[in-house]
Amino acid sequence: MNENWQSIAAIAVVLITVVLFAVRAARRRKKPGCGGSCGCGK
Amino acid sequence: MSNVASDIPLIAIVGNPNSGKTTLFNLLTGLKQKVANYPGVTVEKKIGECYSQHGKKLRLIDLPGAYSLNARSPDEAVLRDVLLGRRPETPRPDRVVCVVDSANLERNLYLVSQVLELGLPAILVLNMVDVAEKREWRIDAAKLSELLGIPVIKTQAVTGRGLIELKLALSRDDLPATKWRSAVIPDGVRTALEQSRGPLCETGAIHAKASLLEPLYLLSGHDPTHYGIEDSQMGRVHELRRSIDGAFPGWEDELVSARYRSIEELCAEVLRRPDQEIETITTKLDRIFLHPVLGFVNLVFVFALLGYLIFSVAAAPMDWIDGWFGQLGAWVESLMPPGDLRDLIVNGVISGVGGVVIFLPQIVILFLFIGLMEDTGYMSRLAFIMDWLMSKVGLNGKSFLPFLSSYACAVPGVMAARTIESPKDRLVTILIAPLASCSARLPVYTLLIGLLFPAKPLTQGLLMMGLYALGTGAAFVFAWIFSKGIMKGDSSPMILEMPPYKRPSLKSILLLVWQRAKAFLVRAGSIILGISILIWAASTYPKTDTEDKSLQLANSFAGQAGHFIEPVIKPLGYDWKIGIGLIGSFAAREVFNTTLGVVYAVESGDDDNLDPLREKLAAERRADGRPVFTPLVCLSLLVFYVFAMQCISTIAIVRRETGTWKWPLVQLGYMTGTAYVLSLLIYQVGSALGY
Repeated sequence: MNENWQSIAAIAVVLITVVLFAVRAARRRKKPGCGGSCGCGK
Repeated sequence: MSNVASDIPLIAIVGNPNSGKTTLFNLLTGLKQKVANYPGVTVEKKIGECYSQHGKKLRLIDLPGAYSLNARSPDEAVLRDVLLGRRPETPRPDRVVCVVDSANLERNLYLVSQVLELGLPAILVLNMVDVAEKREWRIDAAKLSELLGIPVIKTQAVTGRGLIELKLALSRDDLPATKWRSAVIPDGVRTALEQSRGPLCETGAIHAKASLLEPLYLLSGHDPTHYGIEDSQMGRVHELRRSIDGAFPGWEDELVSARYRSIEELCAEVLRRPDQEIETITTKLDRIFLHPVLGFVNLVFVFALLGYLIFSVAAAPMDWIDGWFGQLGAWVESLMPPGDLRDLIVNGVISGVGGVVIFLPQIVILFLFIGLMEDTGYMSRLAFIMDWLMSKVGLNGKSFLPFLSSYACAVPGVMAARTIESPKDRLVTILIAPLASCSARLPVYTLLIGLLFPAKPLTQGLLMMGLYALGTGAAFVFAWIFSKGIMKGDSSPMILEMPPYKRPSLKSILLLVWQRAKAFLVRAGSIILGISILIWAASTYPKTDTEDKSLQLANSFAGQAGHFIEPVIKPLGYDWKIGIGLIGSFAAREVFNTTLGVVYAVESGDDDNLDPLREKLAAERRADGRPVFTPLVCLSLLVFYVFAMQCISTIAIVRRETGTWKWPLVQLGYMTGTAYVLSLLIYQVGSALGY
C-alpha cells in the first residue's frame, strides 16, 4: 500500500514536470532568448 | 516593486559608458532594483526605487550608456527612444540625471547637450570628481549651473560623496529645463527641418508636440531601427532626407562641429586645467598593464590566479554545501519509508540539484573577479592588449569584450557582439563566442579535474587554466579560418575608451555577484530541478521485475538511449552511462553532473547514494574490472566539453541575433564535430601509447 501511493505520487510529479516543460517550451517559442534563466543574470 | 506606478516620478539616469552611471544607480537603489530586457531588443533594462532626502518615493531607470543620441547601436537607440517617449512599455521620464565623468568633461557634455535640448527637467552630476581633482582640474560647478540653468552636483559615487546633495536635488518638484542651446542649426537646415515636421506628423512618424530635434534624429540617418515607426512611413523620411542632403551637403558634420564648438566655449568658462598634464596613477599603471610584454605577462598571471582561487578558496564552502545536501538526503530517508517517491526526492531531486548547487562558491568567485576587473578599469586594458592578438586573426579588440563576457555565459556574450559595427566581425565573433569556457562548463571541469588530480589544488588550477587557454586558442584559430578563409567583408578598427583606474565599488560588485548567484540558484531550483526529475524518471522507467539495479538501469529509457549512442561514443572511451550524461547535457552543460549524480545514485542503491559523486565515478568499473574514468577518458571528456556546442539557450540566441538557422547550425556542426574528432584522437592515440 505504502509503495503504491509512493509510486503514484512519483509518477504524478514526473507528469507535472513534463507538462511544465511543455508549457515553458511553447512560451519560449513566442519569445526566444535566454529568458533570464540561462545563468547569465539577464 | 511596481514599475508602472504613474504617480511616482520616473527619473532617468543617462551618461556615457564608464561615467559611473550604474554605480550611482546602485548607490541610490541598493537591492531595490530589478533587471529585465527592453522588448524586441536584447538591451538590459534596470529599474529601481529610492527615496529622496525628504522621504519622497522615486523610481529610477538606468538607461544604456551612450556617447550620442544619434544612435549607431541598439543600446543608443533605446536611450533615445525612451527619452523621446517612443517606447510604449517605458513611460517618458519626468526628469533626467545626466552623469558625466569629470575627468572627460568636454566629451561627456556632447550627450548631455543633446539630452538637455529635449526639454526635460534635468540635474547634471559631475561624477568621479576625485579623478579630476588629482589631475588638478578645477571645475566651477556654480558657474556651470548658472550657464546651463540646471542644478550641478559634484559626486564620487564609489564613496557616496555628494549623495545627500543629489537626493536633495531629486526632491525638487520645480526642477528647471535648460535654456542653454549648444547646436546652432544653420538657417537653411532649420527651415527644411521645420518644413519636414508637417509631413512627418501627417504620416504619424512623430507626434505633433515633437521638438525640432526629433525629425533631426530621423532624418540624420542614425535611426536604423526607427522603433515605433512603420516601415511605410520611412519612405517619406528618406525622401525628405534626400532633399536636405541635396540642398545642404555636409549638414550633419556641420551640426556636430557646431555642437563641439559650443561645448568648448562652455568649458573655457568653467574648467581650469594645468598647462601640463599631471601624471596620474592611471598613466603610471598603464605603463605596466599596457606594456606589450608586461601587459601580457600580467594577463596570464591574472587568469592563473583566478584558476587557483576557484579551486583553493572555494573548496571549503563546497564541502559544506556537499555536507548539507548529504544531511538533507539522510533526513528525508529517516522520515519516509522506502518507495518511489522517496527515491525520487533523495536520488533525483536532492542528488541532482545538490550536484549543481555545490558549484555556487566557484560561480561567486568567478563573478567577483569579473566585477573587480570591470570596476577597476582593468577590463578595457585587457581588450586593448587583446586587440593586437585579435587583429592577427582578422578581428579587433571589440570582439574580445563579447568573447570575455562569454566566459560567464555565451548568451550575453553573443548579445554584446551588437556593439561591433562590421557585420562580418560581428558574425565571426558570434560564431566563436561559445568557445570561451562559460560558467556552465566550470562544474564539469571541476568534477573531471578533481578525478584526474585529487587533492592537488595547484595542478588542478593549472589544468583549469589550460582548458580555458585551449578554448581561447581554438576560438582564435576558428576566427582566423572564418575571417580569412570563408567570409568576405571588411573588418573595422577598434576605438575604445580607456577609463581611469579607480577604487572598485564594493556595493556594485556585490550586487553583480548577487544577481549572478541568484540567477544560478533560480536555474538550479527550476530547470535543473525539472531535468533532475526527468532524468530520474528516464533512469527508473519502464520498471522491470529484477532486483538488480544495474539491469534495471540498463533497461530504462535512459539506459536504452545510452546504449543507442554507445557505438558512436565508444571510440572516445565512453560507456553508455557517460552517454546518458552527454545526451542530458545537450540542453545545458552543467546537467552532465546532475545526470551522472542521478545515474550513479540510482544504480548504487540507497545506503551510499549521497557519497560525493567524484568518489563514485572513481570507483566505477567496466565489466572487465578496469576503471571507467581513467585519466585518458577524463581528458577526452574535458576536451569534448571545451569544444562541444551544448547549450539550447545559446543556439536560440544565435538564431535570433543572426536571423537565420544557418549560423546556429554551422556553429553546432563545427564545434561538436571538432569536439568529437579531438576527443577521439586523444583517446585513441593515448591508448596506442599505453596510457
